[in-house]
Amino acid sequence: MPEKDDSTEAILLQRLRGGEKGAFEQLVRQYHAPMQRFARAIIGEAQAEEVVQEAWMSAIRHLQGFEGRSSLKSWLFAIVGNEAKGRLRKDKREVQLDTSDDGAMFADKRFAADGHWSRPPTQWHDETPEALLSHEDLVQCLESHLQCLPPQQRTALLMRDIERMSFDDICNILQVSTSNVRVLIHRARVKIFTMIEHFEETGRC
Amino acid sequence: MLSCHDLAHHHASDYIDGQLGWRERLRVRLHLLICVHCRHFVQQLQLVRKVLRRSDNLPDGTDHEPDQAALRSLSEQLHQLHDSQSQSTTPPADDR
Repeated sequence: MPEKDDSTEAILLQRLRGGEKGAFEQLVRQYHAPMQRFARAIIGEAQAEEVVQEAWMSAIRHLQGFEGRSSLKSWLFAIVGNEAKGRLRKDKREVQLDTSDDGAMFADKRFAADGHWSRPPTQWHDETPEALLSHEDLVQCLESHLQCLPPQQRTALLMRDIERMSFDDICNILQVSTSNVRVLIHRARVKIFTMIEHFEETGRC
Repeated sequence: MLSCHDLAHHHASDYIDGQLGWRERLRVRLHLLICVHCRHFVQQLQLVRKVLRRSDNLPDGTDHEPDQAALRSLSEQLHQLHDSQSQSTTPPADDR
């Protein structure tokens, strides 16, 4: 993940390996909440806490083996992802790739048979993220729409747009191809686009 | 020639994520030059991405702010785990 500063991370790792107490505090403060968010997206609220606890233990046990080929965060996320998937398998709830083309609805509603827009996008009143996020109703609406996304779309969108992970990292953790990840992310974004557009047109969620 | 449907349904996110090869990228750019609707769509999709990037507290819609005491206790546990491990093994050399 390019936004992480490699040298700070290397220093943190060194301090962790040296067993410095403050380093563990920093590690937990920095990554616990994102790890929980990520676990919830994969496995749901009920088991997320346990998955993250297990992932932390596993991470500390394998800390010496971490070679820094990926960022610390994607390494931790990969561990969370594996824990969560192991548990889903045990419960016989496989991570299913949602292959139904639920994007087809957008295509049908908005395009004519000749491929042109039949209902083109309208101009929005708000043209910056700040302006959009200043509407409390819209923020609430966004939250509930993120909740309602199919789990895989939500996880992919969370990893890419919210956690800003690279496609490679996302594919590794979700164990799906880049093209699948790209489709998942696009469908999720189009749903959020449709929601914001509706809000801009009607002022309602 | 790329249709609006192709662009919006198949290429728009790949375009803004920089995931298209140069040929496809050129086709998208040419289409955007002549199509105001698709220009709007791509701009709005970029705005969606920016909104999401700003909203890293949103995704579960619930209040999950972990309390400081819990975080401290977790980090102490991990610290102890690490300590007990390094006592049982010789301190390894830096592997980087």
